[in-house]
Amino acid sequence: MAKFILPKKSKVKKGEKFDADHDGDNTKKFSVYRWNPDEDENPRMDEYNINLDECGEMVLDAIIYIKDNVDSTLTFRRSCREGICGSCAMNIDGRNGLACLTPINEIKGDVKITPLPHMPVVKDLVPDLNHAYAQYASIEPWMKTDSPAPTRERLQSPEDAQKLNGTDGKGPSGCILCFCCSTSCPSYWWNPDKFMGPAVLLNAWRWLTDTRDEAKGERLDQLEDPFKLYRCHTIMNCTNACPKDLNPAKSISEIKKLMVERHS
Amino acid sequence: MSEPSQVKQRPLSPHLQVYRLPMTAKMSISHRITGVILTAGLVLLAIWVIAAGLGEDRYNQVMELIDTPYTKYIFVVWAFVLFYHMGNGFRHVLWDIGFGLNEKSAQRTGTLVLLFAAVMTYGVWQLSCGCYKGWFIKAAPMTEEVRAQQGAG
Repeated sequence: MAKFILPKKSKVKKGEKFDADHDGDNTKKFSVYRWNPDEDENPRMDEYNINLDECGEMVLDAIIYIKDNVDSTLTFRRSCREGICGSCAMNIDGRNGLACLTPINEIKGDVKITPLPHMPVVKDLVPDLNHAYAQYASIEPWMKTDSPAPTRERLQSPEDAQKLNGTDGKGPSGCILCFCCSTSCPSYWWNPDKFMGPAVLLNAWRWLTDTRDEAKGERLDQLEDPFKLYRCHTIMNCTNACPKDLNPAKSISEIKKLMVERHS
Repeated sequence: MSEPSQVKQRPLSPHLQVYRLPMTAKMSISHRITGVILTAGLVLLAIWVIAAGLGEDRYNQVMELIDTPYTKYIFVVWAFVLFYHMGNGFRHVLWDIGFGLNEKSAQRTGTLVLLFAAVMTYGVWQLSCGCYKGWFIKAAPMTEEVRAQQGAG
């Protein structure tokens, strides 16, 4: 049964306030989720009032500014700062996305930042993704073949390659595994242990539609289950959340269609 | 290597508490809720029809119970719920055959479903109010002519 409210120890309390606007006119308040595993306290929302003239234009710039200048204990993941590594995935202003691709000026009012939703928190904005990674590993995301290996690469026609890349570059192979989609999905919130979630299913589709892969039947067998695939109820939060503009909902639908084809 | 400080229970990050559900998500949860309301309403409707089948006295008894000043509003809402669920159900069928599965289409078809439900609700109530003076068909009083007809039949 789905639990709609947070467990007692996970309830978010009010936190500290930091004024670092340096009397600027162009200020913005960032309300950031904090939890320290070394203290026996509930999570809290700390407020940082900062001067936007002193930091870059993306939300990631602001939290790096906070870490560098206001509160060095703030913990978060980041790496490429250009939307390709997927590290800085978090919930910004009620929507999942990459901090490095979210402009501050697109957010009206205060900026509320929490970790990816319905995940165990390691510290502050860092969620524990081990379970999601294990689910990803379970679909065996590599090319499986029975036919003898050719003396060179297995070739694909441009049309076949397009099934992976998409005509607009937004095919399933564009996934950066940031898990913005999976953690935006209410079905995944309520059944994270049994439902694969949109990110993993999109990648399952990536291998099912690969013309070089020869394990289609095996892959479908693996997903033939009341939960793994069919917990998707077309809520479409995944497609709405994807920072790379991919369409996990469509990929899931394509897998469902393959299942039907197989049974008919 | 020593174990990291994993001894303590990790908190669960906020989900429904913070997520701004997009229109498609709100319509999805509404589909479920309207389904439940429809089921409940159908039970009441069944009671009403069965009462009618059991004869005049029973029917009037049930009517006395359900004919309140609020009943008509409940029925207007129920009609909307019915048409919303119907329209959205059709939208789900389209999705299941692979049509309209992207954000823009989903928002457009969603708006269409809401419009459809509103127009149908209005239409049905206009129609039924045009046909009947009251909100309910009161059992017609048994006249001598009707009795005679029934006896003859």
